Amino acid sequence: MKRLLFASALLLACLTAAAHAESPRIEAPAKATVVPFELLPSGHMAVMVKVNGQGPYRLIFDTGAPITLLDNKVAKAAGLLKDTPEPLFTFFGSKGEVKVKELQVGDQKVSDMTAIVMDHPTVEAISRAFEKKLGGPINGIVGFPFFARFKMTLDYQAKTVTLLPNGFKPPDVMKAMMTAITEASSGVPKMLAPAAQWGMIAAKSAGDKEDGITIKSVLPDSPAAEAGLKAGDRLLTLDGRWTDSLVDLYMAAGYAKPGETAPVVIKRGGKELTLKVKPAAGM
Amino acid sequence: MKSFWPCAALAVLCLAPRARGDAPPKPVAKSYEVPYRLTAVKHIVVRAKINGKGPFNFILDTGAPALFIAPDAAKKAGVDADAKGWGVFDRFEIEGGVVLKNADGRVEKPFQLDGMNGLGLAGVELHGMIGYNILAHYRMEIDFTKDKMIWTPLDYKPDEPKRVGNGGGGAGGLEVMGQLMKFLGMLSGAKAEPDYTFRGFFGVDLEDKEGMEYPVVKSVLADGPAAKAGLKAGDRVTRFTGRTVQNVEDVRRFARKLTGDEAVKLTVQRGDEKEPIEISFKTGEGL
Repeated sequence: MKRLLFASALLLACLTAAAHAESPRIEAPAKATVVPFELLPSGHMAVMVKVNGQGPYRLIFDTGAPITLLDNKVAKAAGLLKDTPEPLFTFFGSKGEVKVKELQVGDQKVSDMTAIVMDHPTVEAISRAFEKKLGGPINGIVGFPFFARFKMTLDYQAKTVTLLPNGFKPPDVMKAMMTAITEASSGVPKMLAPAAQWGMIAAKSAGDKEDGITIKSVLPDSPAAEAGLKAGDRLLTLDGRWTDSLVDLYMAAGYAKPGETAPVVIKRGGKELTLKVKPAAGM
Repeated sequence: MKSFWPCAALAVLCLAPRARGDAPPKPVAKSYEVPYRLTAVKHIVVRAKINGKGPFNFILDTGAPALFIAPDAAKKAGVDADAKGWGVFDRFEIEGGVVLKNADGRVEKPFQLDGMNGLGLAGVELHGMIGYNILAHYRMEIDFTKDKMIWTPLDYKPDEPKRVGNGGGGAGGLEVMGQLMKFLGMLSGAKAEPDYTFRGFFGVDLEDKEGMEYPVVKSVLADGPAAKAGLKAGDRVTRFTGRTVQNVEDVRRFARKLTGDEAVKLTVQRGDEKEPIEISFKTGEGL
């Protein structure tokens, strides 16, 4: 029963998720593009987007959206549904995953990008509320598969999104979700490993609720020793990340690369000090 | 569930906004480096301490009109919501040094969070979303090739976000997906926050050398676990925890399977010595 329920949820999620292996290309100028956005009275940002050369359509620019979403109207006009059989059952007009040949925001174009076709009730509610004021509807959401390919600068004062291609290749979100679900229910603990050698041992007792973690010992001639760290120091941050627990400490050390200087903030004798540690390669 | 996706963090205010007008931080020229995690399902998650409590995990979400914080997290931070569901957070500190005083936030749990926590989708327990009423105070540079964002305070006071919808659920029936995901998560035994183990500390740097069929010890850290056990620079590591290794990546791969305080057994060849040497040590709890 449990397996059946779980499997059907997964199935629902990956109806059409398979079979798209090739990675999308960016056809964009290597320079930054400044794209104006409309700030909706609800606090959302809307940008004008061309889909397969059609439009422009008004879409919400949403850093919290793992996928890009287009409504049925846009999907039809842009010819996205040609190869998609009409499903027997749809949920909010969902047609599942489609390939967009070209999605364009400002001068920046992304080719062969995955999007989901659906009449999202929240988007519709926002569209209904502001359609008159905006002079047109809102047809979807610009999400991660588009914006991840750019260094983006969001400025609510200037009301602009600046996009500069950064070479980042976004992974397939559906696949990542399946892996995450499997891992979360596997019961296998996650292994954390520092990316470099520091040469120090830290500990925090169960009853210790104060910020930071205490350094128990520092190995002689280690990167930590060379930077001036000492046993008894209270480590508050490592490379800008809070170190309030062992998990925190190992997470932070997982980001700090060997050979690159990382600032650490410690408390010693009631005073805060910033030391620079250059962790060494190794494990 | 697929249909649920798009809205993973698109939220709408469904209650009248409170009539408060304060909260903007003092504009300063300084920029902040804000660390973030990109979760398995591609949400940007930042950490925040509220009134010194936490840290709590928030999705950075231009699709949310305001700061949303789950009631249990608000309670831990000692914040009560008013009759309309708004709370005031005296000190809201985002990792990296961004501090907001008297920040307004909705004390409620958007249904999306229940679903994601239930299935353990984020790999971290999510406590809320940081939306427009906070984000609009900053110019934000986000680049997934870097492990930190750059936030620069703006001299700008955003308008109060307007409510959308008719006071009902606002999500038009999608709420049920959050409950469904939570339920499935319970059945599958998924946890919002995974259990962690730490790879023990060896105090050794290995390298692959041209023409060598085994990884070579480049250096050992004095007084580290490996050095104390007698491992020396130049030693060639042929087996690691009983398994044959041919390069540094093999060692790393097997090391990832150690549970933390396990004994590690290395088989090494030293100089011209014919007999292999067995070296074992208990990994340290350091970095």
